[in-house]
Amino acid sequence: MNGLKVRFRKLANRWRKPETILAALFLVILVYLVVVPLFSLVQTTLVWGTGDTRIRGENVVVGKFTTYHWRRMLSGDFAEAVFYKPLLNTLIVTAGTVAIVLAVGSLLAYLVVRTDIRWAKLINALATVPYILPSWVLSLSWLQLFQNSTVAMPEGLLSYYTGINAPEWLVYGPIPIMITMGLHYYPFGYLLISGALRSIDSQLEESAEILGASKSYIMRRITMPIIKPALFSTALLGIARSMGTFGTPAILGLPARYYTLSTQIYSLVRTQRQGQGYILALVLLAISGIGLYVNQRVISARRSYATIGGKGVKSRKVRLGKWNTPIAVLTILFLLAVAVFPLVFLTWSSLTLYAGDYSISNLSLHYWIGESNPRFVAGEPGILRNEAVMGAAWNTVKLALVGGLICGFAGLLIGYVVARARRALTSRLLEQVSFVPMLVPSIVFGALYLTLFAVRRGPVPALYGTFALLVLVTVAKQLPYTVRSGVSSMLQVAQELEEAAVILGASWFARLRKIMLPLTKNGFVAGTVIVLITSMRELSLYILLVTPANRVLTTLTYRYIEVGYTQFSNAMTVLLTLLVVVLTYAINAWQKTDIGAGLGGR
Amino acid sequence: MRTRFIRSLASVTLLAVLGACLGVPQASLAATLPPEVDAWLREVEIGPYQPSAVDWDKVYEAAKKEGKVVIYTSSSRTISLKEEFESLYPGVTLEVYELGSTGSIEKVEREQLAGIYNCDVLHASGYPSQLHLLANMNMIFPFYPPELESVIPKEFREPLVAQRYESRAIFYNSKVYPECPIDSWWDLTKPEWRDRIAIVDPVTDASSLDLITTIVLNADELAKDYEREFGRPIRLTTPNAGYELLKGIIANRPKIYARHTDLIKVVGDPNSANPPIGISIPFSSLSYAEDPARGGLKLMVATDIKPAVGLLYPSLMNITYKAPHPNAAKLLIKYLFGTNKGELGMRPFFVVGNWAARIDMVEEPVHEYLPDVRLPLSDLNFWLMDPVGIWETSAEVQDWWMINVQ
Repeated sequence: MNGLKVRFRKLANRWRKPETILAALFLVILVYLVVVPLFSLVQTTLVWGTGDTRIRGENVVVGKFTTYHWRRMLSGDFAEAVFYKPLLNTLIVTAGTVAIVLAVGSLLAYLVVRTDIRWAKLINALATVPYILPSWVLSLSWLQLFQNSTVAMPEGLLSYYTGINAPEWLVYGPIPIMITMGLHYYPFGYLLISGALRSIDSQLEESAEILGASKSYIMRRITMPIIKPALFSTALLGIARSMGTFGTPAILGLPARYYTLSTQIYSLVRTQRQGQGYILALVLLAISGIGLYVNQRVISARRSYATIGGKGVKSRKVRLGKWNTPIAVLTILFLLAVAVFPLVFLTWSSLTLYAGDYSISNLSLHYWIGESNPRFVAGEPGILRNEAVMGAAWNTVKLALVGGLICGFAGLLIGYVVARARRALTSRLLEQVSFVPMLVPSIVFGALYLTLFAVRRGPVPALYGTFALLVLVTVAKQLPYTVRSGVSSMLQVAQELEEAAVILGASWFARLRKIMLPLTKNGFVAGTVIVLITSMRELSLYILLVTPANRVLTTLTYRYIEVGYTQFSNAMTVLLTLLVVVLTYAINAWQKTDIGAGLGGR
Repeated sequence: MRTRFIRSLASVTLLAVLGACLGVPQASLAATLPPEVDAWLREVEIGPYQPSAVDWDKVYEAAKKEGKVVIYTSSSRTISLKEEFESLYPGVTLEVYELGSTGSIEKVEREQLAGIYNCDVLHASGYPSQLHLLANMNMIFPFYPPELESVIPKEFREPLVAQRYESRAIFYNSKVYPECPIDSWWDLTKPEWRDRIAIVDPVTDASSLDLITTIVLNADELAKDYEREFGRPIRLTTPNAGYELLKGIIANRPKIYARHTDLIKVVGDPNSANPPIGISIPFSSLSYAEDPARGGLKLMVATDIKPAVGLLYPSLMNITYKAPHPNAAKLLIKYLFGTNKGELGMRPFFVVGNWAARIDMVEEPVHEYLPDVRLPLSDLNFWLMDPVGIWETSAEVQDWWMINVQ
């Protein structure tokens, strides 16, 4: 009896702690934003949809339970073609992409952080640009470079200037998909690994060296263990992002009849076969879930993350010597090719009045500032004086800022709750549930939100057609980034600081405001910036949710791409990229930060 | 074509009757509508309650009170109508939302299912889905200006109202091939076209799925043409000659493009030495041919293909259930029918390769850069869309394609 009383008092005490209340509150919100959609995802795979009414030989009653979709997707010719083969392709492409992300990311990180390479600042700035570009830009540039007549395509730059025709496997299929996705997502790896490398106190390595350890021994026993969490996080992000990416495999795989799970999901959802498409989405979820599990096992093996303490971190840089300049030049050339060339090409194209004619006399600002002329793009005025484009640009900025701020703040608070009670069930639940949206492909996430928020449900009004729904879906989908950065920045703050404040009688709010928030401000800003960048160039998440009143730049650009307004849509892509760059750098200049921290790297 | 056209007329009429039996709202069946739907239709006078004469001044007055009209359209060309419509009817704003056919239909369906009434006019093709997913579910209803009754054939008024005909056909590069290099669908299965065919993805593009489904539905004609082409009866390794044709095309390793706008750039590239033959491109894409703004594409459509040049289908415009601006919607539909010279709302669609619903057109559209190209519908031998047949067969054809294409 007494024991029960004690336990009850303990429980009551816990509930008096603000973090417990916060944890409960966040759990409720996350259940609504993440678990309910997930439930609806599973449910859709088990009932007949409206598009199924055309199926013959089955008793289709819309909304009634059926195992038809699962039977179709698990065995038989259809499953073979739509599930198993694309699954294999997805695994191959993802493995290749992750390998490239890790290789390029860690090499660049090593060069910038641990060596005395020249122009390190420039390299650092250029290294993150590919992440800012919309995902379709690199794949379209790839085609511009390699397409040729052996694949029944017009001549690309390679063929035009050298006469060399690239073979089909280099133009379409798994190899180009891996390379372009790897080059698009390596900034993840770069940011995470460079963050980890920076936190290594080189005194550790030096002491080992003094004690007679060999270089490879130091690498194996000191350097690798410290950056291992960053490597695993990179791999996990790489897996989750590249498996869910639709644009790249659609552009570089589809023409050669090479299908991945993401393209099959898109096809099935587009043709009103959600029941079957969502099964594939669950498969993606399961694979990423396994990755997440492995990742957590690896990270939880490390006991302390606290690096903000009284001691300084010293780092000694490796001298590149006479190789310095050549390596730096090579690196910069590589980055220019990956990051800047596509952008220059797009800009140039947007300045050509007549498509495909790159002569000086054909240069024009028509698609930027021209007045409506029915001869070009059906009379659309240039983008800078185009109401629809400007409205969409404003919406994009607004959405990114509002979504980013909410996300950043929520991430920080969740991070606080998780960090303060690392072992509590609520913490683990919070951390895991908040990561789920990362694993759901954007197109599916958007479709789920459309169904869920189209009508009034309890206290939540019908949000479809409102700006609030776009904010909500952005926050839910991008929360994994800020929760990760929130948790890792909160973990860096040693608990002793807060304990001292408690002893001095500071209230919870005072502690949060005066100690925790200032110390983790970097993580907050960095998380916000990552959300900002990611949501500004996000397409598939919004494509089903936008209405005329609240469309964003990417969805509008995609429509213009669909109707073939090449120069016009290229101008819009350039505008979008400029907006992202300007916003990112403005925030960075205002609040000195490093977006690597936004990925939870430090 | 003429006999075909009559036959198609007959089949469409038959379909209308069939549709009526299936529950498509017809005047005689209005009583079977749910009471709230019936009440709304009666109130706004559309569908079965369309009056035999409309006082357009009154409609305009009511539309001004509504203030705007929202159209979900499949065509980017609709955007250019905004200014003219608004100057014609001051006080009524035209809000164009261009979503593609599949996107428009999906959005209307999802909105209606959720009880959200955003859209007034759905202006898109996708006849089979519109008929089965929307019209049969009382989500869209026909309306046409009654004064045009005599110039709009019945199949363009019932069960749904259509603005024009669109089509899907075969295109080639006119610079590399001054003459069309093929004259039968079966040519595409010959080894010389290996790696030199491209097609719009029938899985993601609804009209392309309609085309390949139509190929399967017309298997008998294709079997006959096989015999004419190869001089021996077809030996089937698939369920019918339609599938056999698709199998032969797939065996030639076609490149697949998500959108026909991507495909025309590849087919018509003026600098390409080895352009592919493009399958499932709309006839109206011909308007991009030679246009310098589009890169001077060398595009030409194959007009002499046996047994048919491609698929002909109506592009529809109907009013959604509980449209928030029903009077403005009526004005918009009247405007979209245009004049018999292809003016007003018909102007962007009065191009070579589009054919107006109204039969009183006094002239043929002229191509800006190819003035010699005239393509009257009566000269072309099309398969006319069978919306019910496609609805019932397309899932099977789509499955077959997804299984066999890899």
